[in-house]
Amino acid sequence: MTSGHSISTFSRIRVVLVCAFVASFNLSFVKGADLPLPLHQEIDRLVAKHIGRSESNIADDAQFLRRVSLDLTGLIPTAADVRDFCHNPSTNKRALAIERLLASPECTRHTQRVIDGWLMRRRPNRNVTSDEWKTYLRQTVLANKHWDQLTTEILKSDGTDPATRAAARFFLDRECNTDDLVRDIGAIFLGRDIRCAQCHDHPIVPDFKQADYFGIAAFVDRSFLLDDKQKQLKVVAEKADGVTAFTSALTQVRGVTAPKIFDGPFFPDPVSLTEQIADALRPEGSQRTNPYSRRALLPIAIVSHPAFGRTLANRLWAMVFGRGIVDPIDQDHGDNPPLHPELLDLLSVRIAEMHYDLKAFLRELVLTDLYARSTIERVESKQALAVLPVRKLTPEQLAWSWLRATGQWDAELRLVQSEMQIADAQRPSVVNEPETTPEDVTCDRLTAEAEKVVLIFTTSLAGEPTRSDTTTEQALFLLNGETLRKWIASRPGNLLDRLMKSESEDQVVDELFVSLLSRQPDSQEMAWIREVLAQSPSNREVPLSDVMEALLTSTEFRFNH
Amino acid sequence: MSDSIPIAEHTLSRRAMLRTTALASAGLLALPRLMSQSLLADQVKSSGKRVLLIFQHGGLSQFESWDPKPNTEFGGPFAAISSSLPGLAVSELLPQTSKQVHHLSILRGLSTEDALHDSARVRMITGWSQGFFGGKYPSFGAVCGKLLGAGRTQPAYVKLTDRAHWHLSSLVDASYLGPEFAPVVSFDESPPDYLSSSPDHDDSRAARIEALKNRLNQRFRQGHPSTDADAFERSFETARQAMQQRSMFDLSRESETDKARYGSHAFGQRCLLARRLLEHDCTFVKLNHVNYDSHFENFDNHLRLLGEFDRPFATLLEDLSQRGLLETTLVIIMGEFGRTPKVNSSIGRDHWAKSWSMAVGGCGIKPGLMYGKTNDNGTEVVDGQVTAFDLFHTFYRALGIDPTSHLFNGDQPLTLTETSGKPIKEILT
Repeated sequence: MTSGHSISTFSRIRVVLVCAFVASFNLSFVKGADLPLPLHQEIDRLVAKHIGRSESNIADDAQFLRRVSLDLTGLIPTAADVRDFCHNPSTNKRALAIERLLASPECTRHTQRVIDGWLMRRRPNRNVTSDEWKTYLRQTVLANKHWDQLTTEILKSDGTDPATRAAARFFLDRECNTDDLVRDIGAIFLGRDIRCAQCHDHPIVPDFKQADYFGIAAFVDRSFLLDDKQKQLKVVAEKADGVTAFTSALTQVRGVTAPKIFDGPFFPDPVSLTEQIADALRPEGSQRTNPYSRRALLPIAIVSHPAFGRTLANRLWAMVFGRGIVDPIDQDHGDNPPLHPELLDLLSVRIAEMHYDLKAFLRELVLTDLYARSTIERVESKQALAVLPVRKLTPEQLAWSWLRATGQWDAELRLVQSEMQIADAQRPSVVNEPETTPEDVTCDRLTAEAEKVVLIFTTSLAGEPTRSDTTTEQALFLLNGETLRKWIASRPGNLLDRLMKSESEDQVVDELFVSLLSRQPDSQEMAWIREVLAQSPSNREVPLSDVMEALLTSTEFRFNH
Repeated sequence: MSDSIPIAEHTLSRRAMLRTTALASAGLLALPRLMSQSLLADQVKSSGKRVLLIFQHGGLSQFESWDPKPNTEFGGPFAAISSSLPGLAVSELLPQTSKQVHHLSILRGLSTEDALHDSARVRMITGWSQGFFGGKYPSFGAVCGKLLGAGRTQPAYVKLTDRAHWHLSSLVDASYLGPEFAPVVSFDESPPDYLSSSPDHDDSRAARIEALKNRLNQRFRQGHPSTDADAFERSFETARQAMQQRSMFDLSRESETDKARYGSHAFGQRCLLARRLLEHDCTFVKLNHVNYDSHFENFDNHLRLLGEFDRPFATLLEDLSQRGLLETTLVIIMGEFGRTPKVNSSIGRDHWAKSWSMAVGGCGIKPGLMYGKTNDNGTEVVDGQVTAFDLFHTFYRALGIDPTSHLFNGDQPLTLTETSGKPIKEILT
């Protein structure tokens, strides 16, 4: 620095720039600790504090792909998917696979079924047709409607407007029955089934009071099913008055309540309501106008209650981890504490920040290291979170995975495609015609048969939380039923058809395992299969069918692991 | 679950302790699972007892059956007739039954609090008014299958019902006892679904599939301990046992005479099938008759339903008695509640749990008694009031089982029925 104190402007600027750069680098280094982690990393951090991390406990590629395919699309992966994925050397292939699956039409169909199960629990279609409801769910999922928006739509709609009628099914197909509604609203949206608090404070759970039951009831007990004779349909109507009162069957103490959700705020009727009612002179029938609707406040009250996000987070967690952080998912109260309270609190906050975006939240869950853990681990930790349980495929996953595995789906699709080609050739396509893909048509055609299988494996009543317990009858079905055999039987384009055309026995065995169990066979298994095939060298169809049946009814297939 | 039996002296002292400890009946005592289950096993080992539960779905009207009140305000149009039980008049809708009713005891003082189908059915089938925290109690059939069914004909628990009402009858199940105690269901007097394979799928194929599947399962299970997977694999054993017993469901092996005696209609054939199953030592047969829920046209409906019921039921009672099965078979006839005295505007009777009737007989029950009475117009019980839990205490005692003993859901000890109940000593032998 021979120039002494006369530093050139350029040098000054350069120094300033360098200082600024260094300063910002230091700042970001400091701030690096404060930069928000993606949620999946936050989860892993929190969980790791309790259970410890072990590299060797990561699921292998085949296990991971099968699991994440089932959880995001309700289906085992295709044989091609399995091979592509396992041979892919890329280090971020799991994240890419997750994106591909989330964007797939199978994911859409699966999400539709899941949401349908949550909202309607297999209740029969009474006032909204199956088609109308399915279309509504499809639109919902395609638009990635967030859970708060969907909740608001279904609780707000009264069924009078054709554009939103399907959304009213929640009320309409419960016939606006107050008790059904209170129990289901509590269980589905708020994680609290308080049916036992209807007649008195809950006998076992101190958190559930009769006042809580009737606080929710107060939102809906003025609503009723109205048979609109003019329009020939049933709609949700609402009286403008009525007091929600209750008496304890145990203590005889009487109470009255304004609408409220548990410990949330009251939503009392406006003071001027009686005057408003007098003013709104009511004509008969569907022209009746209600100056004030309690039911309109229900979605607002629910979505703003902390239990809303918490329940959704817990429910989605249960979907991919096999067990909620609170378990059962509709018993969230003081006597049933969450396995990891801090984790659930974090998830509740984050899901609200994500505006209850189902896909985005699911993405974070399946990106965690926790999700990627193998189910084959020996963990000494007492934390139940540390061990991923194997879990049965849901009835829908089982039925549709069988259809994919046997190639029955492919065979049907092939048929549909050729039919559609012929149909298209015979008439010009119309602009703005709603696009029905061959896959959609195939899905429709196979639904009736799939539903029969679903019914056998569903052990809960319509309206009750869905259960799938193992029964002797299911075992008899797996041993002697004809449905699976029909799907296995050779048909142009299905698996057995392709296997029969294959020359190499090794290729046949490989294809069997990759298609059915989503992995490669080991040498022992190779030997077993060859042994079976050798029993009938001239006609492989029978032994091949038997091998397929054994794989498809095995414990490995039956479970998600 | 271990099947080992502890040393006799420990068993004795433990049993003595349980008898004197108040806590035991509260179900709060954390009993070692092994001890308590062995006590039950000792009590009912090789008892060779079985149960026939005839369930009148929807709620049989006591006015049109066991407790008629002709020429009273609520009595309805039917008369009462005398029966083989002196002092007991039954509805004229039960002429054949009236001749066999001396085998049974009639309870007319039932008062069970719950007049909603689903929950009342849970009460009358499980012996509990609600679930326990986290689940539902298992049905009477599943419990009997567990306590009485070991080493005997499998399936131990069979339901005979209408396919159209299938999900009505699957309301309760084996719960925490496990899927091997769930019933096998026969619909519409056909053998249970999927009991045998199609002809082109012979035993050698089945054996081959089984062998390969077992190898694969063994490999998979090495890395995956899981009670769910255990239950799944066990269900095939139970299924195989049911398959081996399929001739038990084959009505063509019964004589034409018998088929005619029972009547060719569905319920008639179902009663004959029940007799066959009991003769084959099936532990628990639940025989459903649907649908008594006559909110509309109560009298027409009961005329029709009891017309279906009367002859085959009477025949069944007679046959069980003549074949010496009644002594070891507890026979229960009931619905989930009764029906209202008041007839509604649709000429129907609605649900009524306040004062209704049922019939019970056979194993452990004194025949030919009337217990409990309603007032003149049938609106309340005036003597011998009985709750659902009293009934269950009575049923279990009749079978030689202590209803205050425990079964275990994991570590959670649960009594067999609500402990508030008391057995009806007057009708127990």
